[in-house]
Amino acid sequence: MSRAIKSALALVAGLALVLAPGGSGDCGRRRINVVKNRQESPADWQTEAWFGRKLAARILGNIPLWDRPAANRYLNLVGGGLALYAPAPGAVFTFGILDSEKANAYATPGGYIFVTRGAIARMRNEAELAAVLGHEIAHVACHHMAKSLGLNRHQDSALGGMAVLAGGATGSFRQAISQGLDKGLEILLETGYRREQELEADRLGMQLAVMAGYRKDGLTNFLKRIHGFEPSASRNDKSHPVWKIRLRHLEETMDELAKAPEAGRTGEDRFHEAFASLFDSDSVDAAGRVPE
Amino acid sequence: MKFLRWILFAFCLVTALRPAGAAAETVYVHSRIAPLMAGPGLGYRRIGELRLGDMLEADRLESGWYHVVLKGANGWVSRLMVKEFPPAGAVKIGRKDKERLARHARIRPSSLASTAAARGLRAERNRSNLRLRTDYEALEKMEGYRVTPRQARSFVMKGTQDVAGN
Repeated sequence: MSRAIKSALALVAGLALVLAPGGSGDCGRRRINVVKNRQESPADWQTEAWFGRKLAARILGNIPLWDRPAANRYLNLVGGGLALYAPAPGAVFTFGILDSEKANAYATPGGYIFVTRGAIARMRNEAELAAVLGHEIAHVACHHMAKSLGLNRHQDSALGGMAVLAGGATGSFRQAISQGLDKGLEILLETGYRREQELEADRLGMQLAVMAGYRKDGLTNFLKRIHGFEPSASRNDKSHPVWKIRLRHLEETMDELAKAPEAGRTGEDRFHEAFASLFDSDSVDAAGRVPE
Repeated sequence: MKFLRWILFAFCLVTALRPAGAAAETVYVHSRIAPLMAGPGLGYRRIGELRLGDMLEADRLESGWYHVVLKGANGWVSRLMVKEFPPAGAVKIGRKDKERLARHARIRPSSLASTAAARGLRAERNRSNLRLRTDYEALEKMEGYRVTPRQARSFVMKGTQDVAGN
């Protein structure tokens, strides 16, 4: 074979590699993957559910549940509606309201999702609640905590073998779990997820809300209001990326969803009905604080 | 012989420069419901619904949406709803797991305290002790508020109907 033809074939092979279609994507990644996504197994989801439940119990040990049955039931209906569209086949989603004035929301692996009473008090409608819950559901669907802690089987970490739940109850194993829970709580309450994970959750969460029929601007409206309420808190809150960057990213995502119908629902009436005690003008101040 | 080489070269060139979406790829739905749209975006008409585990042949990717074929019908599904492997099943935490959780909850403080002590981290230990508090009673109460997918679906549909009714 002549040198020219060899060169031509090499060029063609290179082009074929560059231009060949890839596989499907994972959560918010823009580019279809060159390396195939690692297959999820039931054991991975079981590991996450097991760990996530322990972490949820710790959250509740530090911040009490706001035990209003009707409000919590409504929260589960809104969240459950979004979860129908979540690419998280092994998750069992459970939603709860935390009795805290601070505006925040948390998700643990496997599907335990919390939103604070203070966050709800600052919302105006169901679309905003759905946007926040969608964001947290996206953290679960994208395995953000599991990836950060190395929970799943294929990950080379102290917790990587946790899928063998029952068989691994050695002292060092328990210690690894304990430290993993500490680290998980630290991520949720202090350091936050990595910025790209937060932005990825924004993107998927917004899409979930729109798929469930809500207006697409729920999260931006809520974040702008929070930013207005608590400029100092926004500087100190490390659990979410700097507001300006996040808002810009959200605007871009909304542009990508430009073809989405503007007229999604807001669900204002049933939102206010479910959280009537939070919005009674006599029982809540401007910052959403409810007397004990 | 020279002619054959040219044929081979042309074949390789055509293969390399074919449209990126020309080769079909098998993907699976990973959400309970995935809307099937008439075009690549949520603004297009919703023409159907795909279900968890549906196997699709995707032949094109455009603006984050796959053009897919299922049982002869075709439409567009969001790239975020599908993956290239079948979905894993949902899991439940059983009673044995709960018992193990309680056992671990009792053991954990001592193991963590010893770790902290070994490192000489008294302040860290104090902070950790605060965090070691768990509330499984509240967690079980919270789990009692969980709804079924059918109930959630009905709630979503009712909201959509309310909007349509207005």
